[in-house]
Amino acid sequence: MTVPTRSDRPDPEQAGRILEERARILARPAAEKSHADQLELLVFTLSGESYALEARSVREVTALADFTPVPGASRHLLGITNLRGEILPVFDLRGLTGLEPTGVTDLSRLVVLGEDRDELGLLADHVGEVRAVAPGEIFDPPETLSAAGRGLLRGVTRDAVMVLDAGAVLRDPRLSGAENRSVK
Amino acid sequence: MDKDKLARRLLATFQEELGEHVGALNENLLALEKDPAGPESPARVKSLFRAAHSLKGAARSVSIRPIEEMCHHMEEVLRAVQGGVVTVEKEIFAILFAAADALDDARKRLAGGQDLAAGPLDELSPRLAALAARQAKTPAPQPPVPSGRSSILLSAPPGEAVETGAAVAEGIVRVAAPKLDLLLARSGELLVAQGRLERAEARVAAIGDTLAQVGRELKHRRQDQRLESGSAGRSARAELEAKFGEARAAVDRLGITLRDDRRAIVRAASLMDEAVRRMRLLPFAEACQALERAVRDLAKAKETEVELVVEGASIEIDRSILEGLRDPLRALVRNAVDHGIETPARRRAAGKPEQGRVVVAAAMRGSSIEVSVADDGSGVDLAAVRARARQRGLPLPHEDRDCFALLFEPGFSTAEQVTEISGRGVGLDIVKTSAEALHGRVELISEPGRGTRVILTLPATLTTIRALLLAAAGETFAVPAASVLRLLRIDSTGIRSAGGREVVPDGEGPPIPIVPLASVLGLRGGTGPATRKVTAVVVGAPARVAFAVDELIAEREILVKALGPRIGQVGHVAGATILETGRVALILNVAELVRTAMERPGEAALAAGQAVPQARKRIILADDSVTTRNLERSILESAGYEVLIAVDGEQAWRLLLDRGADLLVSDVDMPRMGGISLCKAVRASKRFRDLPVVLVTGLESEEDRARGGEAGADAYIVKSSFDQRDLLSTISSLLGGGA
Repeated sequence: MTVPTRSDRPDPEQAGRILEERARILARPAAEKSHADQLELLVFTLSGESYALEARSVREVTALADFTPVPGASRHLLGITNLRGEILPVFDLRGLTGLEPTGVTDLSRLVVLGEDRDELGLLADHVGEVRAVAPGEIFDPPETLSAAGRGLLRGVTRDAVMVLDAGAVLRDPRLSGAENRSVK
Repeated sequence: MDKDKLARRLLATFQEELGEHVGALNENLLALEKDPAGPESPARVKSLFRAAHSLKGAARSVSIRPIEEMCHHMEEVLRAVQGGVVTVEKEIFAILFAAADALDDARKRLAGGQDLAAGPLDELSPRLAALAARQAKTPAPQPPVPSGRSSILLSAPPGEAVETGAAVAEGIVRVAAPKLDLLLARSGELLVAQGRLERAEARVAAIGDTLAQVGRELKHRRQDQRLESGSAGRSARAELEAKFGEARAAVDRLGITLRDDRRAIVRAASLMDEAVRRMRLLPFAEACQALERAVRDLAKAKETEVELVVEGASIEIDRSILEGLRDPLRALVRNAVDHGIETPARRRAAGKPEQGRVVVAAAMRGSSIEVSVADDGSGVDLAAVRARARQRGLPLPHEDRDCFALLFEPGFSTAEQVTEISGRGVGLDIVKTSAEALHGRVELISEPGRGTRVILTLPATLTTIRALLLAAAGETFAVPAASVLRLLRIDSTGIRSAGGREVVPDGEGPPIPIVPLASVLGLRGGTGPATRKVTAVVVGAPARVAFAVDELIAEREILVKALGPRIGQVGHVAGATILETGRVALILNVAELVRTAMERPGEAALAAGQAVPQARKRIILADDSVTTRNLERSILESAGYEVLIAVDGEQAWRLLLDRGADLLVSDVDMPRMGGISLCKAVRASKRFRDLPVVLVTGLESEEDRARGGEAGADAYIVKSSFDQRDLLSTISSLLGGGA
């Protein structure tokens, strides 16, 4: 015995998908024409090297006022800080890109990333301006870079700004609280 | 995106509903089984039918076909029962109980994001369908209710409509649990803000006092100078005095406004907090829902007779605690029936009633909840525990209660044979883990032949806990007060060594191991006590250990913040809280600390007779210039002082209140609160009246120096003459020599 269902109409989910697809096609030409060619990059420095993230993936840039180290956590986790009453983990990319961590200064900045919410902060020495770069001007990362670091990069610009892939940064399992098991 | 969100929200609501219906199914089935022909039976059957029916509709709306289908078959079976076509017999009970379990399993799978395929639903659905088909063939003693698709009749059973109406009339609204959590968190923040407001009030009052003092000073001077100055100077001074008087009056008014506002806010915030907390309360009975069913099933399988008694069912507990209690309670009750209660024959032989008793009780003890599960069974066989410990190579405890603690070790079981029901071991380690996750502790008491009692002591609410704030290696940490047995302050000469481990005497009992908290956490600066006096926090579970700390700061309510999914559980950290300074402090996982402390090799870190290092003096350094701050900091740190940094006077003041210090070095010109005001605040405070204050400034004028002196500064160093010996020798003389 089966349960009777109505099959003469597309179910609401299906209908929704069709409508969404139509809306997307309608919206495409107007929305994508002006910015399609250019990437807006937020450039920051870390131990004398320049990095960039696509500006739309950055939720906020703020001063790193203070942080609390977490004993026993991954060495990439600088600590946790208070961002408007919520706990935000702060990571230091230098361990991943092969640079020596040199500590934190009073001028250190925090670049906040996340999808739906503030997920993590990346330590930066200085945060510069947003600049527009054509995708063609981003080249494959140099071979000399460690494989670990390359995974986080979209590429590198002519003037050696390493363009990070925000999605890859957010997904990287090393940017979590626990130290990799192999280390322990 | 939005559609996904909606779907997720719908699914979450469905899971909740599913849980409720499973509860209703079990409750009604149990009642019906106890008294199948009782006067309440028709109502019970009706409730069962309604639960199956609503669930079918709900499952359809979220497109979960397997559940929809099974509920449909359940409905058919129940409809036949309801129509009097068949009576409820053993077989029907068995299959309906199994169906309730299958639905509960489905709920868990949905919550875990798992697929429903290949679950118990697959197997049960056809069995139910077959049963329904057989019932349909059974000749009816009276005209049966049409067993077909009479959807008009079934879509809205009259009882349901009436109940829904009543709920709406009473204004009952279903709110998602995370929203309640958020509300409580916000309310908690408000309570923390209150504390800051209190300080602001105190600060304004201090300014008022200072102004009053200045006023008196002015009056004296006027009397002294009356004869000397001319009339022009006099009128200028009168004008100045009038302005000063206005300012004083304004500060006084501000103080009064602030006080009234604070009172109003404190009242509103605490009333709101109470209301939010009350909203989150659920009766303890909710956590016990599944227990009766578990006892019934187990007792049947073991051929024992067990009565389950719930005490304190109406005690209201925060839902976060209640949720965390479900699993440990189930494990404990299963354990009591499975391993505690003897067979009727054995009980008779021991002179006990044949029917065993398991009592699940909740009681409030101050700000803690005590939840216990007690049975009148055979009790824990201590000899068997000792034998098992020996077999596993564990150290043999002398005290009985330490033996009981072994039972909570993972995989430690004394059941002579692993029974079919409890499967793998006793599951007491699960109870312990759950209790620890709730920031509580667990204890087991047992008397041979009389029974066993397991007591969970938990904080009354999860989101704020009472905690002890303490300092170790220059950091502030929080320890849940529920896990602290007591505080120790002893002379380091009292520390002994036993088996390579440092211990402190503990009254009548055996000595307690003592370890520096910082070194357990792996922090630098963790060796060597600060003074010959050792301050320590004694915790009781899973073993008694004293953790030596630099200092105890305060005991207070703190707002627990999760570290978030990205950090999750890290070693010794259970969560975090935000201090009034805005800084984050870690909440320590005491059980993990104890474990690490016990695993570490012994070391002599605390005992007297070691070279006791000089106490590091703490200096708070306030300067708004990064360069100066770093320069001064490096000078002070290389001289062996502990330096806390503040970017202005206000932050320095908060640091001082929070952490204390031996000396304050401050710039004069700073935003928000300058060095002079800071100095005055220090002098006006009872606690820090005698704190040495060194003002450092770029301003070099006699007037400024006088201002600094008036404010109560001990020394005044000008940056132009700034060199490190100058600063260091000043500090050293103020601190009475040595870093």
